[in-house]
Amino acid sequence: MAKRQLENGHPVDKRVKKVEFSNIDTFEPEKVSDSVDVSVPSSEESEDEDEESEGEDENPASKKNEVFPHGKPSKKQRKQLSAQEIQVARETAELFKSNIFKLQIDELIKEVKLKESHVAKIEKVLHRLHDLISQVPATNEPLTLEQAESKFASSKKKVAIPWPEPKPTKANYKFAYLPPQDVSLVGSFGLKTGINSNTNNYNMNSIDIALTMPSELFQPKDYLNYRAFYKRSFYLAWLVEHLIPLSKRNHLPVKISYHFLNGDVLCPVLKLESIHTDNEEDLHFHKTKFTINLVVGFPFGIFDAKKVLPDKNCIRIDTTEKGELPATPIYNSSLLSSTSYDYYLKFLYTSKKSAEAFKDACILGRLWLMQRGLSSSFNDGGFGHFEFAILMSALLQGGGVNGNKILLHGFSSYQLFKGTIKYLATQDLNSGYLSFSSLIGESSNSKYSSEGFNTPTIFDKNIKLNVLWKMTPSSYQYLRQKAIETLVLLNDVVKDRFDPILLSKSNINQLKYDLVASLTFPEEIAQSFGAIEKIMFITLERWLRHKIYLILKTGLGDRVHGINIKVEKETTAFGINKRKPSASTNNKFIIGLTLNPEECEKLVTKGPNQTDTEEGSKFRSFWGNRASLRRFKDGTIQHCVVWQQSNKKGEPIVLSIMKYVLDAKLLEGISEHLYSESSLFNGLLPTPLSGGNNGYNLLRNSLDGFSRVLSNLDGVPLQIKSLSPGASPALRYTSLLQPVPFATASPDFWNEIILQFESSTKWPDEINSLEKTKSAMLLKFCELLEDTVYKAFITKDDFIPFNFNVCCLNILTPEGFGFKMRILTERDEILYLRAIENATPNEKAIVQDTYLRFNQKYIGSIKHTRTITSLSHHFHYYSSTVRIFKHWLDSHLLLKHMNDELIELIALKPFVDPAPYSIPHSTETGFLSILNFLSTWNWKEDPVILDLVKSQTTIDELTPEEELKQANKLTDRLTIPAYRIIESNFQKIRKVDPNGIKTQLFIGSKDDPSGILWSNELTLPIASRLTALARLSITLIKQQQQSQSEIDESTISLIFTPALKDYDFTIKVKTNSLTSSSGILPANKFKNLIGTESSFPDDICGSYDLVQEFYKELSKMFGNIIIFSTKKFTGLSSDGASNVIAGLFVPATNTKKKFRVGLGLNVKPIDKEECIINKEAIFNQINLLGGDLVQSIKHRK
Amino acid sequence: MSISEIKDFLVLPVDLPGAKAPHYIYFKKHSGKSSTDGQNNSLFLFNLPINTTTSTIKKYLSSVAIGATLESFAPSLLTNYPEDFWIDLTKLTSDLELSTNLNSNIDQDYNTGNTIGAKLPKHCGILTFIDKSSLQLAFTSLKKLSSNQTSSKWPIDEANFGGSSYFLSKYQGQILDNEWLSGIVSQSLIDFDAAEQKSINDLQQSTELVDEDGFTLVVGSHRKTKASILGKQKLASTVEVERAQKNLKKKEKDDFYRFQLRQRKKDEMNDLLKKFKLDQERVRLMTEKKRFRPY
Repeated sequence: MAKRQLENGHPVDKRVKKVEFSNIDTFEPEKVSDSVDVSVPSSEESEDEDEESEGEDENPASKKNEVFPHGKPSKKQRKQLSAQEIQVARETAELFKSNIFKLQIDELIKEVKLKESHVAKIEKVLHRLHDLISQVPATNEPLTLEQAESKFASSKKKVAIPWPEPKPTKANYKFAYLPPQDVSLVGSFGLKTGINSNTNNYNMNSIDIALTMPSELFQPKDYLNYRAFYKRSFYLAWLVEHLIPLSKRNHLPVKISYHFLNGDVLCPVLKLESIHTDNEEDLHFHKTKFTINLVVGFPFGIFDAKKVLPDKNCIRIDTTEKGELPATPIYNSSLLSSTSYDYYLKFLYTSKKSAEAFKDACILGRLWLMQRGLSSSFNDGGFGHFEFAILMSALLQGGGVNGNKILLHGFSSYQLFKGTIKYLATQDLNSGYLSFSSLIGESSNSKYSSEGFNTPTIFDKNIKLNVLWKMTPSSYQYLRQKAIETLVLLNDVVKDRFDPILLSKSNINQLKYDLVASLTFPEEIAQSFGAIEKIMFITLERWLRHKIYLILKTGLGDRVHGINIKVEKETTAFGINKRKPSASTNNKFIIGLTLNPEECEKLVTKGPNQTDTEEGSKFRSFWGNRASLRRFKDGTIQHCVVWQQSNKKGEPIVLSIMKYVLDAKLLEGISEHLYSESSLFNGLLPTPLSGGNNGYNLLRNSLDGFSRVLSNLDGVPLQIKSLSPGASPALRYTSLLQPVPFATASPDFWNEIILQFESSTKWPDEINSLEKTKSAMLLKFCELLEDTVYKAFITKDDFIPFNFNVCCLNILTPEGFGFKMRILTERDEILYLRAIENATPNEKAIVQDTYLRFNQKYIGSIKHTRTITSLSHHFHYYSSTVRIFKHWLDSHLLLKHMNDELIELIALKPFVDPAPYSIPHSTETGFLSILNFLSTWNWKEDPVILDLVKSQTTIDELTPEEELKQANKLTDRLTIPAYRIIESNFQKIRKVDPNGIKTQLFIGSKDDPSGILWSNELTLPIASRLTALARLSITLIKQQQQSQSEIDESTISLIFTPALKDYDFTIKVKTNSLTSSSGILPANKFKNLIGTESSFPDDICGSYDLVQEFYKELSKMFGNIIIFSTKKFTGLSSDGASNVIAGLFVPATNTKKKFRVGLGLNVKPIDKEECIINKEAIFNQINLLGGDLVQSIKHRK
Repeated sequence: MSISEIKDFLVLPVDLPGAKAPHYIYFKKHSGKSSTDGQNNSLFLFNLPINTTTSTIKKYLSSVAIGATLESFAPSLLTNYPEDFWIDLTKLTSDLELSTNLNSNIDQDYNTGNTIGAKLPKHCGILTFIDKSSLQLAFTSLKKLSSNQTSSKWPIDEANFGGSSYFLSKYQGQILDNEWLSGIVSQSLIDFDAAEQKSINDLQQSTELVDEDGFTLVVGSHRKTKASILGKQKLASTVEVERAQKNLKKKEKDDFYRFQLRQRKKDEMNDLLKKFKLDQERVRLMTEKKRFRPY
């Protein structure tokens, strides 16, 4: 006892922050100092590195200056090799990007490879099918339109000819079927880039067979007025008419239906699905999950390319207006692409042969697009794997502004993929365009030209086709956005980003977009779909999409970054006895907006200056009488439109504008059909009693005022060094309730602040005396403050276990806010750490917890508040997102189990690391993103390591210097060594606790490399429940999306309703109403009818929530056998006074026990040895303790 | 259901107010080590009901065993504390001989006036009677109740316990009286100064001691306890050693001989190879977990 060893040093505890940082420090200098001389790494590795650095270089010409050539670098080059460059290269190699990324790609490609047995089966099927097709008889003689129609009408099979709209009425040409001049396998199966897929998504599993109609069937003028398409429709109908009996006879049982290829109504194809029969001779292929498309194409080059250029008109109609008919780009492109199925297959095949990794890169591209919901279909953006492959081929031929090559034939699959993504991200194919030649063997380069057509364009000079003809500016914008985000991920050298790039799906609308609205359009809208519109857009939906896009783009302007409009569920397949799909199915749009957080909620839409008459009249004509002239503070007079906050609670301005412009510009009253749930989510936030949204600022100002007074006090024995906000959600904009003056019942009323003095050696070297010395200081302050407007009193504080001498100074400001001041000295941490050193092994865990508690309150909270404050300024919707998330947690009785800081870090994840989605710019998206993250976070295996920096690197910043900076720690991003240290901390924890019994959530950051500062006190049941509840909510959202129903009030209330049945017992409790004393405006009441407080009550404790104290006492007395849960915000309940305390017995307590006094349980005897928990007695005591607060106790049977 | 004894403990059923089922207290004569005078007048109790205070016990005894005079009651400090062990941070942070008098805590809820309570497990307590006869009296009466399994009434001061007024008073109790607080603070700081002074004096003595190598302990003017000085010395020595090693390293040239360069290259290669192997292993693990399913 007497010779206990004490020392001032830090113990070697992995969780101790200081130690971690000193590790980092020693790590760095060593790295920089020895990196000037470069040796060539082992051959295997060097290849990888080589590839890696090439991939990052846009210009292959400069490749020779790379860091790792195998030859000797010249003197000059050697000079250029700065220590930093080498460091980047080295760290990259050290990290997975080259190695592990490559290995992961290999595994992935193995995984998605088609099964060989399936391929063999399909090949057998295809051969048989080929035989069948060759057996289809030709028409005896060409038929007139009437003959053709009557032929099918009289047939028993009731096959309909899938005429495109408008149905032909008279034709001076004839229809016929002759055996196809060519039958070939096209598409990804033909290219061997097909992938195995579990989804039932049609596009993923189809094998395309192109049947080329013989050229004898066409006349030169057939490109006009749907004639070729009509001929094809007949051809298809004839084919199906004969295939049905043939397939039966030849033991290939299939179900045949019509289907619009890529949603193109001009291009119906036959879709063949296997039918299961019991006949052994029959050939089935349903197990392969493949369907076969019989695509009928036109002969290559049959139409004069000049006539079907995108700017030509090929549908002649009579119009009353004079002048030229508009161009028909969709019609023309559809026609042209129908001539080129086989042709493009050959082109792609050549690319595949010329670049070894082309095939794998195609598969990567395909997966990437699939995970982001993009495909060749009109409705899915019009950019699928075919377009990706063509782009990649074009980039292998050039693609730069000077025709320089973007991709090289020797690139690895990763580099091809990354190069293509980078091209998509950095080159604008909407305002500019890429031209290439698909002629095999031609040496002409593809070239990027910045003067474009304002429509997404990759132009094939050879056959004059815009490969991106199915894309719209809006879908291109989405594609580019995704490419930019992916490029940032690909450039990330710190974290392994394989998962969000290729493995995770991002298909929940509510997470993809900041605001999702659905629009059901009424039938009368078809009246405005005239002949001109028809020839330009072919279908009503496409025209509407275009029109709505233009209206919203003009109306919303800067407020949105992207507008995406999709048909909710497009039907493209229909029976062979129908001419087209039934009409009413495609009448609902999903409009997804990506918002600009800076602009979207502004009340004024600013237009041009008054002096700009031309623009001014445009502005006025768009906005009509809403437009007005305003003079602004800087003296300019501008046209503008002023919006009011909507009466509907929580409706975003953007939604109000949408409603207005759609009504005014599309169809009067159509806004009634526009639905968005975002107002419902916004409405979940409690309205503050004081009105307005500036409660947080008032509180901040109040703190500033107090801080000034404090530093000017005379007679303080030590100089004040700093006064920092500590554990106070309200001071960092994250408290569920906004700060409202004099709202003393709010659980966040007291805002903790930490006072630090200049350093002194006089602090006692023993913990209790130290705390008492601090108390003496507080007493001094208390005395000095007596003469000011501030009221102050001292309370004891039991936050740190076993430290029974902690006091806080409570300050009430004249503005109506409360601060709780603690004193931190430089001796505190030393003493706690010393205690850990001196503790016996038994005590150690508890003393460590004690230290963590201290660290939370006094050190961690300061850093945390600083970080969160600055981030909530940067991410506009972070604050409201956290608040709603806290609301959700409290509804589920989880909030009390978690630190505010832990919750805030969890909520930060979707903001600082949103991949594969984007940074959320609305409360709804933010909230659902958090739930989505929680539902997928496997915390047993994965740590969360947050890079708490302000902005995600955007594409402009991705210069090499920037990357160097990053590696060189000039920015405050996480560095590789720091990341590694946090990661290894996690591994250390999991090594001793692989199943997460003690530590569940691990969230590391530069503020807390230990990763468990805030999650240390969480327990396994709570962490599991958190995950389970988040999963349930996300499943619900997904189901709503699949069943195409809206997220309405009942959905939301389901998400926010606690499952009390899961607990062993629930206690209903009731106290005084706390609604208005918590600063909440009660529902359905008006502000002016509720008196706002203007002074503090005499007994400040009188307004506190007694339920919380009840809960605290219960946890103290029975916490070792029962997990109690309750809501922290009693004031948010419907009457402001009711709450519930739910209890769950720790499972181990329910069994019989050998009697001993150390049980810590209330037991009743069973026999001479054993006893069992005495629940009746426990309930009785709980009842006694609760007294008049308890309304009822309910047990689970 | 009439078990009156379990593992040497007697079972005493009691009724709490409003209870439908009895609560069981287990007791036996206490045989602690502290029986210095050969006499042990204590009873050991386990599973005491909530809020058992000295006055509760006194009240109870007066109803079942009149005449048994209680000297003191020491409940377990852990009963109302969520942790499993009691920790004394003073002892862990200092070797000053501060009185381990728990009464000096600002948080009065955890002052018991003795140290026995810190060692008892949850829900236990020790009753000490003034003399053997009192103990005997109480024990016999309780034993009788136990063997008959007759429930006796357990008095709980309902007026001052439970319900809203109780919780309100808990809140109010957090606010400290300034005068009382300054009294406590100044007293314990005086105690601390005294203890520290004593320690310094002891230290002063040791400076005069010459050890077998002829050294004496040197004491600076700032830190005044032995522990802190020793601690500092230890720290200083490790820092010195590190610095010296660093200096030595700086002077070493590691690219002078060819073998050094070759060795370094070799090391690097091995390192990379090792990492590659590790990566392969990681990917293999991921594959096993079916990570690579992009659906």
